Amino acid sequence: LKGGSNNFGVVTRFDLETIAIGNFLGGVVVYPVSTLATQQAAFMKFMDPSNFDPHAAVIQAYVYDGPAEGVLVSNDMEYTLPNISTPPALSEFLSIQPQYLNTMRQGPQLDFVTEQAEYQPTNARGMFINTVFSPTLEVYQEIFSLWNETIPQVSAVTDLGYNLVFQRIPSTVPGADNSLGLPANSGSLVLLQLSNSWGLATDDALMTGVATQLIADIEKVTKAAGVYNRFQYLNYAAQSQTPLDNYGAASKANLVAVSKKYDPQGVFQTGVPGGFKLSQ
Amino acid sequence: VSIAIATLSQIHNANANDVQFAIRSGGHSPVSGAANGNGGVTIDMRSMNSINVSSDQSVVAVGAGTIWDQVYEKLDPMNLTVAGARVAGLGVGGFLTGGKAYHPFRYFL
Repeated sequence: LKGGSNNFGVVTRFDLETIAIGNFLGGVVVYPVSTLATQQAAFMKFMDPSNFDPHAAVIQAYVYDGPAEGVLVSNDMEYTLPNISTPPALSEFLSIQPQYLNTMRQGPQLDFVTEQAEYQPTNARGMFINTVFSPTLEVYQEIFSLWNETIPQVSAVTDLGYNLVFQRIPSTVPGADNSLGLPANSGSLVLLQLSNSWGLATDDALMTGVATQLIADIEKVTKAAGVYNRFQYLNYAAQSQTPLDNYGAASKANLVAVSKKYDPQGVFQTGVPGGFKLSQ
Repeated sequence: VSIAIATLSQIHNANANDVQFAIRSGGHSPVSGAANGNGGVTIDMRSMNSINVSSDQSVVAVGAGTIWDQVYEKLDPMNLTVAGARVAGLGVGGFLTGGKAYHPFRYFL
């Protein structure tokens, strides 16, 4: 039922398998947009299945930092084996210059999640929207260009946070025993998230509209290139998106059957209206 | 929680328009109505935040209202972790039911 969100009941406890780990390499490196071509090539290399390293994680983000700085590139990285400072899977990202900020160090997990929280906007209005594709360099470059071209539409917005974020959907996810509906042969997949925040309710329509149109334009590109994947990650989905439908008909039917069996009156369908509902 | 849900369900089943509620753990979702009930009931899970590691340390039982940083704070000194969120402040319940677990990638989802 993982991925079913709040459609079935209230979970009060999770029993999680532990993983042995000590201090490990993590942190963030921020660079100017002049490194764009190298960043894009490095991320494509990271996504190449032949370079897959289960211990390596990268989130590559493009961040609009206002008219003075323009766009910045950020690589948020972790490597989950102890005492390794330059793992091959991350070495290209670590060596790209110039760097405006570099917080890479060995540390415990709490340290890294606390650092990440410092980069999140507080008390702002916000939205996420996402789409998934199989990476090619041409498509990856075109997506950046499309995003970059939208900046003039939003650059005057008060307290703007405007981020284009890419991360790997791990190769272990497709075919796993869950409701997400990704078949085992899905190949290498990138999860693209627009993560936007702003200060004023009067900008809601503009910000939502620009992001929705941008995702539609990006999906035109990925569909034309034959690299679109219907999967949407529910926790990054916008209200206009349909993550439960996009798990696919079989998965959706299974979730609906569970709902009908355990909640025949539909309390969690109509009584808990927030979020994404199977009945919609 | 079960008494609250049973009560809310009774009201709902008598008249579906009489009650609306929401379930909140970390309250991170920006989707309207996901983390609170506007004009309705919010079941706030944040006091269900126990973290209990099994005696052989292979499993940790985590209350759904726990915040991920609390989980890591407890597990880091034991040189253990779980596939959870990568940002402090996120809640366990909404994150896991949404389908994702982050780290390390071998155990994602």
